[in-house]
Amino acid sequence: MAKNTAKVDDTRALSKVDRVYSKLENALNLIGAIFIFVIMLAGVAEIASRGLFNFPIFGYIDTIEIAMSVTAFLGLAYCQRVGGHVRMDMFVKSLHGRPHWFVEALATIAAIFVVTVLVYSTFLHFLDAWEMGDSTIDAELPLWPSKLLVPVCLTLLWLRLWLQLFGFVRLIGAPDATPIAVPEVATIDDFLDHTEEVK
Amino acid sequence: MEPLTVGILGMVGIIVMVLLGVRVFFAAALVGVIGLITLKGLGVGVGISGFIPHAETAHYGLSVVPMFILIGHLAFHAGLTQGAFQAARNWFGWLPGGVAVSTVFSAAGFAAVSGASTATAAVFSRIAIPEMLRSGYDRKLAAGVVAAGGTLAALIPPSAILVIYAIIVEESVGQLLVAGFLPGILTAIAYAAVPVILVSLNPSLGRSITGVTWGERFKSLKGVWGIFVVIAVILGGIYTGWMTPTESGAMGAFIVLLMALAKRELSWANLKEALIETSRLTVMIFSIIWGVMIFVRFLAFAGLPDAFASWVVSLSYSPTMILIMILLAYVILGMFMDAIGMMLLTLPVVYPAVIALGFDPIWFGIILVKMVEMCLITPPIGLNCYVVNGMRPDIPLQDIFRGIWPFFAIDIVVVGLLIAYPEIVTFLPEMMLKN
Repeated sequence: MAKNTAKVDDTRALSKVDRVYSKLENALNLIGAIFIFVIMLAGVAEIASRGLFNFPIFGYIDTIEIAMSVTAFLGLAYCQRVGGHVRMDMFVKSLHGRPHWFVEALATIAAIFVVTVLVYSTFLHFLDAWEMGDSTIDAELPLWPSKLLVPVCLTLLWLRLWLQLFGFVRLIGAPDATPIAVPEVATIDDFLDHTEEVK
Repeated sequence: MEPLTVGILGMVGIIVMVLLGVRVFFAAALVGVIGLITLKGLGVGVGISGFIPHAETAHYGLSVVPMFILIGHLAFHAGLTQGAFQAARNWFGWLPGGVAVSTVFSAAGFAAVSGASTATAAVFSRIAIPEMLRSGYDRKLAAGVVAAGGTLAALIPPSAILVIYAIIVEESVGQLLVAGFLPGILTAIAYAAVPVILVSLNPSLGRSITGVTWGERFKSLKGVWGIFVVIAVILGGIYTGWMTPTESGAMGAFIVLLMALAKRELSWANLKEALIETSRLTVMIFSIIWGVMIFVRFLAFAGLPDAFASWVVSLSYSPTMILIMILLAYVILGMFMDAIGMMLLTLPVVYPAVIALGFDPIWFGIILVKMVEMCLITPPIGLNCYVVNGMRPDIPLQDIFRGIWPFFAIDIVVVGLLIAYPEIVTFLPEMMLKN
């Protein structure tokens, strides 16, 4: 009895951490999304300023480059959660139950390994920029904040991967349990539901 | 160990991991990092893998990608699809197989504001298939034309996949986008010819639409002027060199946004949803770009692309023959792999070989994207066919795959034409350079 309660508590804890962490990921992805809107407005403003007043906006390209690093990295963990990163799932889909979760767990361990190395290496790259005072070419905006963003977002991805690994390990133990904290498997139906929404 | 052996082991490693379901960017980065460390030592390996993620994303030229994706998401809300289909139906409905012909041309029109094949197929499943079935069209033809029509989005600008190709092989984004225009139009005309021929041979496959007046025709153009404006801004801006691709994309997205706002169809929730979706796709594309770039550095140190290129050049077949073999390999690979993943994983090795054979980089990009898109309609994982089936569960998948074959056959003819007459691809970009 006590053992069962402990199991339920584990599940609750995992699902709670997943929910709270998802909120953070959603918020960061939304900020990345807003930056896309900013890139659009900046482009239009640059055309207008250059076309109408023959006056290019100072630092336009530098700003876009920094905005791009925000857009490309803030949603990294979110994209992993919703299963948005490309993969070939024909083999994985053909497996069921324990073997399926086992292969998923192995793939996640591979991902954790490489992200660990990347957090370290991109952090060193940030340190270089910080120590040398690296800046963009035109407006000489400091580059370290955008370089720091990379290891920070990779760390968030790293944490998401650990959550997923726990989720998969739990499913290896109990293959028929409801999946928690593992990537949502995108199906054609999801895609179509979404298209309905946008329409 | 010889660098080349390490390179080959790396290739094997990445293939195994991708087959096992490791996400492509993790697999590429992992093999890249381990390979770099093996060949050049820890310091170089960590240095390169630390530098690439930021360098390959904080890049002005790449900012065109989110702009093009955004245009597509906003275009849904601006009602451009419905308008395009109505106009095409009024103008081309009288032809044999007219409603199917209209589907092709309106899909081409929609492709001009959208860079995504599957989205185009989904939208037209809902708009065009009911109309075709009402007009007595054979359901295989109706489903086939929608699945095939969706692939036009990859060639007709704005096309996200062409931008990715340009970035990976370091060619001009603008020239590639402009180069896709004529082959895109050629494909649309070829697709439109399919229902005309099939229905002429067997009139029971579908009826034409008669009795549309000229007044109605011109009136229906009101619904599509926005598409023409976006085409003019994007192609005109890039072609004349007055706007960078990013700026033309930003302008195009802005115009579509204004149109959606004018129609009062864009709520805050919709705009947020469009931006979030754009962000998700952008993150996916960029992760795979920097992941693969780490892998590419490793391959270069291993000397694998050079070795493969020298081997291909030393073969005693003609370059065209070798090219056809490479394209056949893509057809087979495309049956099992996603378009972007397949392109990014194979390009680092295949591209230098193709260039060493003397083919034009811009031209090869268009041919490659054409091949990749053909894979979207071939079994067993022709994604567009699954999308049509998902929207219309009453049309069985095997019927859709059967309906696709005439379009696949004409695609092969189009690729043949592009190989025989490369000017169809290179004409516009060369004119652009002369300007």
